[in-house]
Amino acid sequence: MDTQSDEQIVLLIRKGDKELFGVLIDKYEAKLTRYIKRFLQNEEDITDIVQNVFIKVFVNLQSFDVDRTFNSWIYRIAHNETVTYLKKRGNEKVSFLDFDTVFPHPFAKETADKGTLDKELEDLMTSSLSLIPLKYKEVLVLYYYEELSYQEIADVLHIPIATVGVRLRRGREQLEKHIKKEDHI
Amino acid sequence: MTDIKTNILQFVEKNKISMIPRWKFILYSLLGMTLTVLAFVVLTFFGSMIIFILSKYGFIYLPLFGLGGIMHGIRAVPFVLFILTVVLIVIVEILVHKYAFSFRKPVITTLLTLTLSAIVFSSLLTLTPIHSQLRNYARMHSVDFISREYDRPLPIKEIGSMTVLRGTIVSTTTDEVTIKLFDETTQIVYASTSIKDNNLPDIEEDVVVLGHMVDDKFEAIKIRDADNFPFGEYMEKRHGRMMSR
Repeated sequence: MDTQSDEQIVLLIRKGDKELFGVLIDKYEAKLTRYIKRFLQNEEDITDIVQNVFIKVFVNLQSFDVDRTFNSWIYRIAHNETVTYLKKRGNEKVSFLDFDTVFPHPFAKETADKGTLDKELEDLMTSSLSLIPLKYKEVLVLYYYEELSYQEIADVLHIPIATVGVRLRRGREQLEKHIKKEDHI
Repeated sequence: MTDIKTNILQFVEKNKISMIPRWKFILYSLLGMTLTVLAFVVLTFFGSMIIFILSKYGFIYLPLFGLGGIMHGIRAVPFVLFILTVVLIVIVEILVHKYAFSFRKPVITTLLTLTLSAIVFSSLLTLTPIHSQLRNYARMHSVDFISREYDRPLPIKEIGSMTVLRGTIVSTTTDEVTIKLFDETTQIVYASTSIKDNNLPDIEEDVVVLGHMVDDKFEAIKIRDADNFPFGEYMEKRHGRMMSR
């Protein structure tokens, strides 16, 4: 089963081999838990959201387009579940429209840095990630922690690829700003 | 086995959760596409009808009168309609945002695509004789609810203290011209001295007149040849050629 892609597994589940859904759960449970943990602290809430994500994935599996990546699809659902939870909780600003989405910087993709965490950035993210707005936080998490590509992040968040670059750059700037502020204090 | 995996596989086994059948998604997609196409066709048709009527009443030609004309045109734009469209799209977006769970284009893409496509296709549709033919057909066959819409007096006819008229000149005297308007009525237009000094237009010329009503008299401030407007001549010739086929 290891040799089969997620998309092939989805096709087999659709054909009736429902037990195979366990393979997808094995593969994604830890990833999704880690991803949602970047936004929430309560373990019970995180478990509930992860479980809801898998339920939604199963229920809507017939709507998944196997020509696209399952990885992006499941992260999209996890993202939506998390955002819905944050909205319900009401202490996180979730914008409806965003200027970056409409007018992304044309050179954003080229100016963003590599997708691996260097020591400096890792320190920045560990200490200040919770302090920056959600729209930057989610891009940074998907890119640096989940190691999703620009295209995958664009699919997950429903934003243009150029906007991914803009948010990554601004997210880093925001992190640096917070560090500078703390140094002054 | 983790708790989540155990729970979910048990839900599946006991049929507490089941996959929504594929045909339902296909049906929803088809329904969505049909509604989108229908909405687009309706929007484009009414958009082009608005452009057509604004053109026949002369509002489209306001830029011919310079900056003042453009400013009058902007004041005459039915912003309420635009605001209503935006509100409608936002409502749809909120509903979709609430119920959709996966891949979907954001509201701004929908808004821009819909608006731009509607403007482009409406303008293109206005180049065809569809509205002239539809209006003529409705008038000839007494389809009142259609002809009424084409001949309904414009609610934005008055722009500040100014009004714009468009029509064909049917007669002229030394200080006035009579023009036949789109709704087949005639209007006597009194020309100011400055217009008379520049010669009054000839009979059968298609003109746009900027002026104001004083009682039942229309006092013209400026008269312009409608054919001078970009694409105006092309549109009219094309209309004429297609109508004569």
